[in-house]
Amino acid sequence: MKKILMMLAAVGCISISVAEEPRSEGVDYGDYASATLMIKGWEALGEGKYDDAVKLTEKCVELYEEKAKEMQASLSAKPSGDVVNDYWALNDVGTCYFIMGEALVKTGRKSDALLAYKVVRDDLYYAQAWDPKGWHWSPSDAAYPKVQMLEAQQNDDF
Amino acid sequence: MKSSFNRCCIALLLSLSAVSAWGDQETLPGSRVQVVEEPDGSFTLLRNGAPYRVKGAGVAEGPGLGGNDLQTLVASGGNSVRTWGIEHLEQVVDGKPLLDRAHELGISVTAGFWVNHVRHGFDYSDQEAVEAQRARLRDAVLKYKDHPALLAWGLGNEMEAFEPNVENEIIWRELNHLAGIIKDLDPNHPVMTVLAGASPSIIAGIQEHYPNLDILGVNAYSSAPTVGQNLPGLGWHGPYMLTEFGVTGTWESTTTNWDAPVEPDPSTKAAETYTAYTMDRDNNAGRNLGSYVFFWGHKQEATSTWFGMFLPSGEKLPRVDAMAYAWSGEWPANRAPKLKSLDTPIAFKRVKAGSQSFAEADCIDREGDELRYVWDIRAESSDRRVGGDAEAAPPSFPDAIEEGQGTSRITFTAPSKPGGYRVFLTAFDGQGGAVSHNLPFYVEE
Repeated sequence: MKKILMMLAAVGCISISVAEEPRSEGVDYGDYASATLMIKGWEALGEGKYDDAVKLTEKCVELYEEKAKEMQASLSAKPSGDVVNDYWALNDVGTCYFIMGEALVKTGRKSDALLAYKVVRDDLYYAQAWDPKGWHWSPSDAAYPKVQMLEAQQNDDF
Repeated sequence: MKSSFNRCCIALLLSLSAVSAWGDQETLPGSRVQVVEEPDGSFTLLRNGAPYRVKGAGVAEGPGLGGNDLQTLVASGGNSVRTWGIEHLEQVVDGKPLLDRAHELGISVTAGFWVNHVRHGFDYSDQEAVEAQRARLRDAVLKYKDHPALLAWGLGNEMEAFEPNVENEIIWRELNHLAGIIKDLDPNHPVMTVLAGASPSIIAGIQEHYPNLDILGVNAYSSAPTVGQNLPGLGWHGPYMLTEFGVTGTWESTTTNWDAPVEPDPSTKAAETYTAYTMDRDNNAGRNLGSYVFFWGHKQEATSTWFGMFLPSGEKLPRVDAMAYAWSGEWPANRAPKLKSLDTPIAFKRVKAGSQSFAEADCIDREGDELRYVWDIRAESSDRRVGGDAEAAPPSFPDAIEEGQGTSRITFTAPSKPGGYRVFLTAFDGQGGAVSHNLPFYVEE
């Protein structure tokens, strides 16, 4: 349930809670599977453990980005629902870049966040994430306005 | 679209245009506004025969209307305002009714007609009440249809949302009936109905039960930048306007662990507003007729500064400048001040009643105006509502501020009563601009 809430939060369906001064107490990477790292990344983001969220998603990227890019390169359109899970690395790494962007914004590292959002928007644009309401959503599409806004802030004096 | 006319029809209508009396002193021609479907499937709004793209803002009452702030909208490059209730048209702005003042300034008005909501006690099975609402609409249309500032009818706002135990079909059917009344009495202005976001089922319901609709209005906040891009996928291929947009909604934001929404900083809010406008303008497959930013005034909703673009005392906030930049491509000559940082060591924390702390701000004024700082310790809102319903402002605790009021740094004491609070900072430039932000904290026993 928790991960469901985190996913909804990231796409603006619900709000997420800022825990009171959460402290990293050593990051638990679980079994290091891409899905584990992605889910733990969501959970850390929702708990306000932004540094942990960054570390978890960076680990996912470190271990699975090559495979994700390989899957992206093999596609010419977003995979349909019946085969979407075959592209597990693409989906998990793409989602991790989105989570990373969210966490980096929260810590004020907007330039780094912009880079993370741009990766999923520009390089992993066939990645999909599951919404428990019953459909997949696109981290790339969700990253698009984030990139626009951060670039606006970077380029203009708001 | 069923309601679209071709350009020949427009010309004919213009040639037959009536003349109506408005205001005390002059006779003015009524406006003629139509939605035209172009051969490529895109849509154009024609106002008196000329293409017209709405660069608008939502207004209701209070700051944002008086004190020359409609002039600020015009100076910023805006050309239209949207109201929610017909009574707002009678509001006196700079000494004149809103419609007259808008016409004087050369801007148009989408006249909102508030269609009653079930959550406020309206019963759509009560035929007497339904007929009374229809009669009220007839009176309004007959009264205002020939005013030259009228752009469109905004029939209902978020009728499909927050309504417990109501079948949307009942709402769409009644709206269709009401839109028919408008069309019978006023064929010269399109009818727009505003949704609280769109979904395939809502679009399907409208298409099945509401054929009199001319323009779909969509209120959207975090999703605003992609409304136009997503509507075709939801089944809507007609014209639309983004009728509320701006910043991430209170319901979409990060919260503290005592459930207080965390307000984004002013620069982020300004950038978000700008991005929502420009992305919607540039990514809509030719179906967008314009937009209305929310909210050209002051509004208590979770906080006193979340959505409002003006302070109660009338000063503009940075989002006004962002819209000027979006509408005109140029920043105004006098910018609202910029908040570079606002800090207190107890932000987002739980503290003991009566504990002492401090808060400090780093603000700049781009024109070098001297800044005046006003700090306020306020209780967290305990009157949270849905759908933008009016909320009471929470109490202020001026005695909590011990030293530094008027400067960029204060010391203060946490109030004695347990609960959520916020420390607000507002910096005024003395030239009609201000910036305001707040940080939440929680007092424990």
